[in-house]
Amino acid sequence: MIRLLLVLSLLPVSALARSTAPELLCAQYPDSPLCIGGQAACTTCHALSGPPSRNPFGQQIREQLSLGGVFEDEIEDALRAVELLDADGDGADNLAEILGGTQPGFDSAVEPECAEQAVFDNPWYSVGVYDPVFAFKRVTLDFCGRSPRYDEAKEFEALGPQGRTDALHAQLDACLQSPYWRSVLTEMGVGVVRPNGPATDINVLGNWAWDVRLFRYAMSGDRDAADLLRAQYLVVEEPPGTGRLAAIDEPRDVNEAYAQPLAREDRYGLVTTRYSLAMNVMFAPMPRTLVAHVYRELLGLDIAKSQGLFGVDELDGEYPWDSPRDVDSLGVWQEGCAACHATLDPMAYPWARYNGIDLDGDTTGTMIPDRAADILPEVDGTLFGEPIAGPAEWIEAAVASDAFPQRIVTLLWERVMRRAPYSCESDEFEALWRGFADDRNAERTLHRLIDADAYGVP
Amino acid sequence: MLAGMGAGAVGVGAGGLTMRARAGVDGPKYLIVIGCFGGASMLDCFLPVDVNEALTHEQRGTVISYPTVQPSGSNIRCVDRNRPRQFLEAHAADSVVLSTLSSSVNHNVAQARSINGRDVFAGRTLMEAVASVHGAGLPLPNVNMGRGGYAQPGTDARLDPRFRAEVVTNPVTFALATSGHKGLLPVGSEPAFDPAVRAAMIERTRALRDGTLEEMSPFGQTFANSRLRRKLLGNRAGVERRTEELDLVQKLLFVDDFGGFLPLDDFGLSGSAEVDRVLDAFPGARPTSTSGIADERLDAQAALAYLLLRTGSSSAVTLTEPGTDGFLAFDQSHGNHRQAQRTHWDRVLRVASRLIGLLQTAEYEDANGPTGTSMWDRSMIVFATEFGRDKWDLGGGFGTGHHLNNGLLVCSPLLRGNRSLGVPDPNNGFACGFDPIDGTPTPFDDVPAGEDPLFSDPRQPPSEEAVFGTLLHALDIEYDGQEVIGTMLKRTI
Amino acid sequence: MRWLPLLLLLAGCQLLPVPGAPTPTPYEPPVLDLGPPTAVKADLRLKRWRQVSLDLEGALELPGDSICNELGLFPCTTLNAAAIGGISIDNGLFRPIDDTIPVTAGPAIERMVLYACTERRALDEAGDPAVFTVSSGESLTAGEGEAQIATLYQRMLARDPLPEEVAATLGLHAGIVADGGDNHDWAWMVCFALGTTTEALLF
Repeated sequence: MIRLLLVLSLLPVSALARSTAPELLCAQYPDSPLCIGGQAACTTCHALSGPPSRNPFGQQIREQLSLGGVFEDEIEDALRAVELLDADGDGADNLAEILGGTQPGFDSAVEPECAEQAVFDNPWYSVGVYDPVFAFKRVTLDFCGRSPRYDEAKEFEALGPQGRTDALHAQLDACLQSPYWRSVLTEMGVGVVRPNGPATDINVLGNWAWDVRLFRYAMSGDRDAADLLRAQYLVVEEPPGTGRLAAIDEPRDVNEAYAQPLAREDRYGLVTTRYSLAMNVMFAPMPRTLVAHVYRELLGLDIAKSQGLFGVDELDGEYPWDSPRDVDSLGVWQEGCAACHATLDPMAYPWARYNGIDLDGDTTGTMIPDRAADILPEVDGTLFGEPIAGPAEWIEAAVASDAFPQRIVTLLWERVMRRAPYSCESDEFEALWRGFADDRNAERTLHRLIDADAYGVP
Repeated sequence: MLAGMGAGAVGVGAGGLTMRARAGVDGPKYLIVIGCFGGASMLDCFLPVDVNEALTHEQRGTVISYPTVQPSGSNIRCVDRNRPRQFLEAHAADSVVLSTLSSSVNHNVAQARSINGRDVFAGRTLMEAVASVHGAGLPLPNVNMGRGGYAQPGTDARLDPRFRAEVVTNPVTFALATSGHKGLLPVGSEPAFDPAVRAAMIERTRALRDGTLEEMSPFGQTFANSRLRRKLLGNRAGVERRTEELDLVQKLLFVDDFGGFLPLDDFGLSGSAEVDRVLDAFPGARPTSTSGIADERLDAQAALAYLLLRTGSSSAVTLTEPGTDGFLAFDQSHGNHRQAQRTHWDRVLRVASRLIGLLQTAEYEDANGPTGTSMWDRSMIVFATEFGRDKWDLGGGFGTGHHLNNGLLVCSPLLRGNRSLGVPDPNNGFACGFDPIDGTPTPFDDVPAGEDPLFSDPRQPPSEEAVFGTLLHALDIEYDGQEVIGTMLKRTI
Repeated sequence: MRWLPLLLLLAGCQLLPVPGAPTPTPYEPPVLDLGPPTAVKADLRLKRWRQVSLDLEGALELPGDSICNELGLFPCTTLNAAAIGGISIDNGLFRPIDDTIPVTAGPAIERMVLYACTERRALDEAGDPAVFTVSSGESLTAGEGEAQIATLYQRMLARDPLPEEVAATLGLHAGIVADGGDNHDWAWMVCFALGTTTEALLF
């Protein structure tokens, strides 16, 4: 049925779900895996693009709410009323999906790859169980970029079980030094940095090669991947043209100083490179795009998809919704904007002293002590709903969060496996990111990955 | 009936979506999306404030304005500059300009929403929707030469993979990848270098590979269940054969030999029969270096877009303005607003006008042969952009940031053309909304001069969902919960 | 569906003895060759362009820059990279396309393999053959053919061919000659075939 558009607006209809919805759903179903962290994602009820568009489950809820009613008063009954419906038509009712941790608004049929292997007698592959020979080919291709040669394969097949395990890990170690893996890390870095423009130090928007090098460096060797957020050093190619990387504390010449002008004590990894500040802060007093980018690319939380929302009401109930102060008078206190900006703005305050582009002077990518002080006398803010006094605390809170290891392991997993984990792999995936949370080393994580059934079962 | 973004205005019915399409009643429809990357401001083109009316505010500056003109025969006003004027003189009859309200000031997010209607149709993009209705049976139903959010695929897991976008990074050489062998080796007298003999040998070899070796191999026997393997084999048996049988490697090649720089003859290639016509329209489409990249990338995209539609290969194609710098395009407005807007509007209008010209002079043929109608008669060009720009002129070479209030240009004989919907307010630069039935503007009458209307003001223009639904409706695609701006359509609903 | 006959057999009837009749021979169902069990998980991935290129370099002993060139000018490894798991910064393609197989991926890979096999063939015909050892002419002995097939299987797929694979591949020879080719053309086509099997491209 086509609906003629008669009223063109963001109607302030009171039956709209608000930012209290995630907490209220979790108050009703506290044991739901969807409620890790105390609140569900907005995509539990909304489309992937975020409110106001709803997914089928959200629409079922909507049909239970009265126009003009108070959402908080009606939501509990509305949720109960739809428990036995199957919004996404995947065969599991809404309650089962909520309690099971799958999304009631999206079809979550079990993947065919998760079906059980009942017969195993294949003469060439160890189907249904971990197959070291199969894994050896994968390790060599995934990390060296090539298949094992005929003699190499024969040699591996001749090994006993422990020999095969040792050889697998030795192969991984060797391949992690290969030019191919370097190119993979470079591509992964590009995926995180999302560069625009030419790779040149001269162009104020162009010198993203530094960022990609830092990414490669922090994700290789025995380094702590938290350097992606914390690093105060810079990364250069040494010797030039070899692909080998080295960390330096300070620029070594006037060109490098132009490329990375920020004082060492003010540097925070990929957040504060010259490219990051120039591209993501640009001319704006409020560095919203900067923090949104870091939130998405390094913590895996996309505010545009209503992920990671921890709204702060800075106007103390002036409006019926959580609202930011709107320090730069862009109107972000308005209801349609505040849904995201109540999280985004306080998250951005701590970074307000970092300058973006300066076309008239030489302060591009530097710290200016009174930058934006007229609208932000203090730079304390919040992250994950908790108060943050400045950039250092912001970074430490980010590193200490579950979001950081989940994101980094997701990056590695999706690069190697070419997909998100299947439902039957969720335990292995969780073990991987929790392991990474302990040691924060990418290469050790990859060693654990290649031992997983997800990796080695044909 | 109450509708709008608040009161249950969604595209999802309980229990799922249904889609109906009228494809086939009068043949397919073609969609061309030109991603005006960076924020193409309608205030600087087809919804301008006249310089004699713009408010000057003590703190805010002067509302961005221009000398404006309404070309003869056009109901649409424009800035008084050659390119916009010429565009309206040629194409006003098929053009609709409407005010719009974006929902994000983030480039990537807003670009994606401009083509996916904020996920209102199960997460499908305009292009995926068109391909799934009008592209069945075509080898490359949906081709995307775009960038950023304009190249972002939709999120509907139920979309048939055939209608996902085929990403093209180099329009000049794309044609070569539609054949597994043609044009790869220089022509010679030995069997391997005789194109006909080689083709026969390859055909025979492929039959052995796909019909026998695949079934015999331990790998093939063990991994018969693999979804990816089945997909790869299915492509070989289906669409890859098709692209070769249709000889797209030649039909989509829009470059000529240019005096031996590209040795097409040496490799047994001759290119499209329309190469002269296409290169006349888009001279910048030629590569001028061994990189294989066109001198003017937007020209190359438009050249390939025309050939994809003309050869019946595609039903939806996406271009994206790379800009004079290759990446910022309209976003150069941060540095110098007027110059960036002028330069890039002129670029996209030039290319679009040439593309319309080619489509207008290309006869549409159906299964029965020539129809006496043109390709353009059933095409639509959407000048998608992510958002507008700030509304105030601060003097000098001022720069502007991103702004939700803007407008959209759509050209198509399928719309009720020569309309301008919404009016720019000289007191604040916002374009007001309009009555969706009769197009009457809904001005911000009581907003004090120099102040901005709230984004929640009901007189604001329509957002992504309604625009998306309307464009698809004009292209004969309907779905449950579809919002349609009736005044844009030729047919009554 | 392979298992259906077995299930039907298992559910099949058992002969009942007739009083006074000779003791019947118990029914023994014939042994069916249903083939090896397939992998249920079967979660494979397609080589990216760089992996295809590196494997061709190693298998055919070719330098990286001679794997594939379009019109003798453009390296097709990078030209078609986006279709085969590459990225393109200029086009804002920051992550590989992993959730679908582009239409042009298959042809692009075939072009790479065909070109590389052609390069190797040219080198072998001009000097000491490293890969294509078969003699020139149109007649091929079984031993020579089997040796060539074994070489190509070992190089392209890192294994020995099954006997039936040898027979099938030898059987291609007659058709290639009928098309106008010779022994070298046959071996070249075997290179192309093996290099583009799903076994060569998926892992």
